[in-house]
Amino acid sequence: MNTENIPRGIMRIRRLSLRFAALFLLIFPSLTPLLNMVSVLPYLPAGVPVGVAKTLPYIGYGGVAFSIIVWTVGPAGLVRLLAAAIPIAMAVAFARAVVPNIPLIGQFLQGSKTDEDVAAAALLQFVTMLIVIPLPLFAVQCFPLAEFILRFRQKFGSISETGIRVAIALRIYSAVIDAIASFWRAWVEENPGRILPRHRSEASSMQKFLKFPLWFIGAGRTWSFALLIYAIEQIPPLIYQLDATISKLENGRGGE
Amino acid sequence: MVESRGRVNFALITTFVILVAVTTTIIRIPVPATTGYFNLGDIFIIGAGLLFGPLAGMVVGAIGAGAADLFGYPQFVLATVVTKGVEGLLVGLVAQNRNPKASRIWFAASLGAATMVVGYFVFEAFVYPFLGKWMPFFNITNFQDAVVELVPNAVQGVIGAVGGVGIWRALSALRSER
Repeated sequence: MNTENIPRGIMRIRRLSLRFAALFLLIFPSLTPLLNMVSVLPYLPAGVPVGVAKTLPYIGYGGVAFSIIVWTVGPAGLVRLLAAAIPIAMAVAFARAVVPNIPLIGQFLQGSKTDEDVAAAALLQFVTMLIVIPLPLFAVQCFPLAEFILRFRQKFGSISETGIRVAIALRIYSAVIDAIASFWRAWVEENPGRILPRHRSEASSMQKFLKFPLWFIGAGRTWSFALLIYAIEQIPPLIYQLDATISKLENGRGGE
Repeated sequence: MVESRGRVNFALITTFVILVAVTTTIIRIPVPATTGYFNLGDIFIIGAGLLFGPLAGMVVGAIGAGAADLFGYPQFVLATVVTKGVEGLLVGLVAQNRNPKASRIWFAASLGAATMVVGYFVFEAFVYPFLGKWMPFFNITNFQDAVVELVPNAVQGVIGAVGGVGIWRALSALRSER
């Protein structure tokens, strides 16, 4: 069997069920209120802000999660996963800083929350997203398509339709992530005026203000439609690849 | 042949689920009042309901949007799974017809958008404050803040309906060819 694609470290468990269990144990705390319920405030010196104290359980959990990721896919693997998480977390943090300062509606959108509440929530969300977003990407890396199908075949004698569909779902997930990464870059190139301040050349701020809602609806629609085409066009080669992988394994050329 | 068609349908619906999860995750404009956020995931939920029917609409809404909330906003998972699941279900139920008229499609999409706005309002104004009395995890919103979020949710609903109908128009031609 080709072992090149199989991660080393803790996730290189021979049995699929054990690998699923290990991943579940790793990801479980981030998917539940567990970490929000842990309070470290009583053990901290006086004066530590509540917002900082709330992030500490996540930071501890992140240390464990990142160690397992490094052990399994190496430091370069962790950097690749963080490269996906950091822009998303940064975008949310930037937006959180900008939204309360939008003329007319900024303060309205803040509702009954104080500036301290907003800052604490922003910090917690930023830390949470940095830690939690790499985990599903890591989970997909732990189940390469060919290895996944091979394990199913070894376990059940043949490849069940359920196994094939799980493999399809994992592969599409990976393909959509790839499509979005490249599509985002294309969209930024197409709309430099909206992204890069140095390209903004509208005559007046009022003109921008009036045009923005129409542009926003149009951009949202176009962006989503193009993204859909980008994602769907990968399905035929995916199904072809899947058929090829299955027949290759069935013929015994890809086995151990 | 049947197997292959089933797999292609499964792949299409899975693509919508993942697109909802991913677009909801990467485009997040926060609403400080409720700690919730504005996103574009509704375009694909409404599109899925119109294209694939009520069951697929519900699955796409509940799983796609629920999965996105798991990453950074776990307290909203309950509201999202119920609200977006019902949104996709209703869109599919209303639009379900062999050759639906454009007016029926627009009505279904608008109903889906309205369901999302009302659903989040009910959860944020009533359900979460009630649950928050026993579980601080849910103590994140109140009636006043829920009213504030009506505005961004309504904008999100309009974009979702317009985009969803656009996706239906483009892809329904492909489906009828198959």
